[in-house]
Amino acid sequence: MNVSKLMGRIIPSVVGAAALLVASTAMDNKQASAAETLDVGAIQPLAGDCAQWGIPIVRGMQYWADQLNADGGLLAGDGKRYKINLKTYDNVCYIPGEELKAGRKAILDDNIKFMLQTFTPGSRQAIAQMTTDNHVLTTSYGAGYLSKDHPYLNGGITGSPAAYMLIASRAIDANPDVKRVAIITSDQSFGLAAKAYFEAGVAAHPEVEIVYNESYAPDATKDMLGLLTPLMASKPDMVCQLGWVPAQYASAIETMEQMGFKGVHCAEGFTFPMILERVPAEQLAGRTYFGYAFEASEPTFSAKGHELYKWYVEEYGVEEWSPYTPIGYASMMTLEAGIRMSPSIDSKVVMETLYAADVVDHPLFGPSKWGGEEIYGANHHLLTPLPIYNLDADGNVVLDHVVDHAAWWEKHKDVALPRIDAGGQVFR
Amino acid sequence: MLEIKQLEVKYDLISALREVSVSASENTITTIVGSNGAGKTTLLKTISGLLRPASGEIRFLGNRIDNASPSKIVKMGISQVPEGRELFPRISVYDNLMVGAYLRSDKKGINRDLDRIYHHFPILKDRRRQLARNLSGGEQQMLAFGRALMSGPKMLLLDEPSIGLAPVIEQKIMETISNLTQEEDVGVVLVEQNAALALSIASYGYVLEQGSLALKGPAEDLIKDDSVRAAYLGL
Amino acid sequence: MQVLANIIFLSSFYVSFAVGLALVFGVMRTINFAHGEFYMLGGYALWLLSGVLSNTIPDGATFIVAMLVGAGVVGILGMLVQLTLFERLKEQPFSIFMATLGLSYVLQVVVVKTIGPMGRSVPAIFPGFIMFEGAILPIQRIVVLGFTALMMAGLWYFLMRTDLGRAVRATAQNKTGAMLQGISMGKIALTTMFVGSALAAISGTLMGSVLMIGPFMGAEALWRAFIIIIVGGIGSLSGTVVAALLFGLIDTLMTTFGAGKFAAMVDAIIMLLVLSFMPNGLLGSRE
Repeated sequence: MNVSKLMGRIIPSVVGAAALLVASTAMDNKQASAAETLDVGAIQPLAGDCAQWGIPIVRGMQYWADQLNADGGLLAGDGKRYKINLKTYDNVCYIPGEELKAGRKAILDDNIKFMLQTFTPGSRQAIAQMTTDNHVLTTSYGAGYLSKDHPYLNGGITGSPAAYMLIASRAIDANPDVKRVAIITSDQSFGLAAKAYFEAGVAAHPEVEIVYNESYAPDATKDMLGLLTPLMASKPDMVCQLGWVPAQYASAIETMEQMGFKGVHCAEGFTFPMILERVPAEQLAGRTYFGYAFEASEPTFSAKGHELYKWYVEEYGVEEWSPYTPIGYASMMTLEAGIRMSPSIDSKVVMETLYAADVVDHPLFGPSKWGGEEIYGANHHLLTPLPIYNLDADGNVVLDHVVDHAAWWEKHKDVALPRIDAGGQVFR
Repeated sequence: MLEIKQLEVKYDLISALREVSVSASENTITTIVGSNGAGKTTLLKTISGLLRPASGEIRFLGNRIDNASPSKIVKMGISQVPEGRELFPRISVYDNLMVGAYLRSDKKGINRDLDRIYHHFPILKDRRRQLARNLSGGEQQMLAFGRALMSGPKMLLLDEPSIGLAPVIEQKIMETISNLTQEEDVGVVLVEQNAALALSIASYGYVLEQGSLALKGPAEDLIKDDSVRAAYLGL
Repeated sequence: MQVLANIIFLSSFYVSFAVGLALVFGVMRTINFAHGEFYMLGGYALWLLSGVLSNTIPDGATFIVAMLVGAGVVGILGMLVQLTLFERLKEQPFSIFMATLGLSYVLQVVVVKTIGPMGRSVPAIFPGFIMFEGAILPIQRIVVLGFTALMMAGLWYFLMRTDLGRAVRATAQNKTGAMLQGISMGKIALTTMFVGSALAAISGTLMGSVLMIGPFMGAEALWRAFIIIIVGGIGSLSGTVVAALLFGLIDTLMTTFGAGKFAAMVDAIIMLLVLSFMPNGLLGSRE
């Protein structure tokens, strides 16, 4: 972004900032009085450090809504077109109590029937009963706290935490000399889930041992050097990390590289513009495995998805690109598929139609099956294929491999499930 | 040199001083005696600009100062040794003295005055590197004098300098005030509860009672006055 | 050895961030909740200038220019806060608390709206590292450590060796006494806010070159700084340095021995213990 453009933005926003503070909710997308609109809610962190996740996710959802609206609205199974009206609710860094407050506002005050929230089990549990009682079909970029009792909560894509298992496993497959794995996650609900799934992914490779496995308090991570010293002392040849905000991932990688790490990095996603400021691409090339929903900056996996990246970079600049933007976008498409299939826009009917489908034709990932029975006691998790990416020497993200989630699970669930259970992540 | 006319000072709505007129001249000690709460400290705070009068005027060397800032008043040559001394406890004796010279920029003059103060109070020189809070009560009082003198004042306002000191030290402090007045060419306004002590060194005195002047006159007359003897000297 | 180096690096960060807050609190008895955002702006000064000045002057010079420009701009911002908020809201601590908290949100939102919520980083200015006794010492960190020491030396010189600095210390210890020496409270307040805010910005530039820069980087750091200045003794700069070393030591050791997740809790417990047994902090004075 050039400076004059920046200055042009600073002045109006200084004026606007104070008003925005007061009126942030009141300003939410005042919609022109279209005949048929469908309110869709998003509960995400919108301020504070965690907004580095929440805002890019919401932007991805907005793009999804804008695309459909530009088409005249989402063509539902009842034959009508619905304009999507996105409403956002702040959950202050995925804190369950705040999730509940945001949920009350969305569900009880605004009467939202279709919603996206985090997969974080604690946050999902906080509003599970409310979504069930009020028939609010709530999807997420992954599976967390799914159950028969709460059918309105589903996992829209493979996403978190299942992706961690698949990434760890794929990275080991691709690097047979990996024998020692270090796992480091945050000690929040989603970090602890990630820990169990990284372990499950490693468990599929009996020759590999876990040499370091710790979680940290996010606010104790001012200094990566201190945190990573004991990790590096365990001499791993692969490090799987989860729970940092994007800037911290970059800092973690930089620090490990400085400490002489030559092995494989694995995580849900990396913010490369930031990382490549610090570490040369040729040094990292072929050594970073990641995947969440899909990486839109990579054009070959999905041409449609790549359009999201082009729009985003045009709108916010390449430095604002986040690997989290596609996850809200891709998850909403599961609801979109349900609404298209369902004979009625009623959320109960949409929910039943989705689960009744043997195969859901996901607009981005293609045909995908429901799964999750062994872990959640209900097949409410759509097992979309997971593209896994790497980095090339020019600093471009390249597609490494697409994992068939359902097939991987069938093959490895006997060793993976006990690890997930031991991590307290089985909710049958 | 200092002329106060019909001064009235209020705390909120209550008058602390009413129609007080006082004058003090150079090279003499003018004392204001009175019991606790008579308004003595209020009067000195008003002269120094820490309080604003409701009415009346204060002139110093002919200029009105009743609306001037404390900093301006110090600059014009009025320096106060406040009640309780108000030293800076955690900086050195030397630094305390130098803060007294804050408004001055004449390096030579400052050094000369510092030497003079060390001459008057040799103990301050010996202890110049110590923190002010580690001095004894008498030494702290000397430091307060020294600090006030560092601004190169023409008039010193002394608020209860003897309070809390042993009788021997009290006596010494009064002698010091006497000497300073002569040697340093300053006028002194001395506020004291200990009327006997104050009147013994002053040339002119005022008696303040509940915010108003009750009596005034040359110190030697006041010391003989029956009502003063009864009320303030305990005789 | 690595652990020792980590302790020194972390402590120096704590010192550089907390010292400005401690100075402002010590002199003015006022908490500036926007101190963290002043720090954040120092980080963005580095990011902005390294964009503008890249390929014109050496990166090391950009680093120094960012420190000076950030300190100047944020210092003036601090003076404006003094004139518009603190001066007008004197004797109303709760209003000041709310006003500076509001300012901190406004500054966060301004950065989110103009630059974006995603963190930023700047290219490594002094890349590489040296090995010493088996410890890895990134050169950037050593440079930052050096500048932190320089900043502290500058602050020490200002407070101990200049007339204005002496007046600032005197005011912190006894306001009435200071007024009676002709020290203007307005001038001292402006000076203190300038210096305290500029210190925050310099700290932001220094740490922005090591860690990442983001709109919310200051908000988090602020709570740790509160713990440090409370434990050190409110208003005591030497206490702040001692407490920063203490917490640098504790936090580093805890992460080294795998108990990093408890660091925040342990730090809070230490603060409570210090407050119960030494209500004035480690080096605070009785008032």
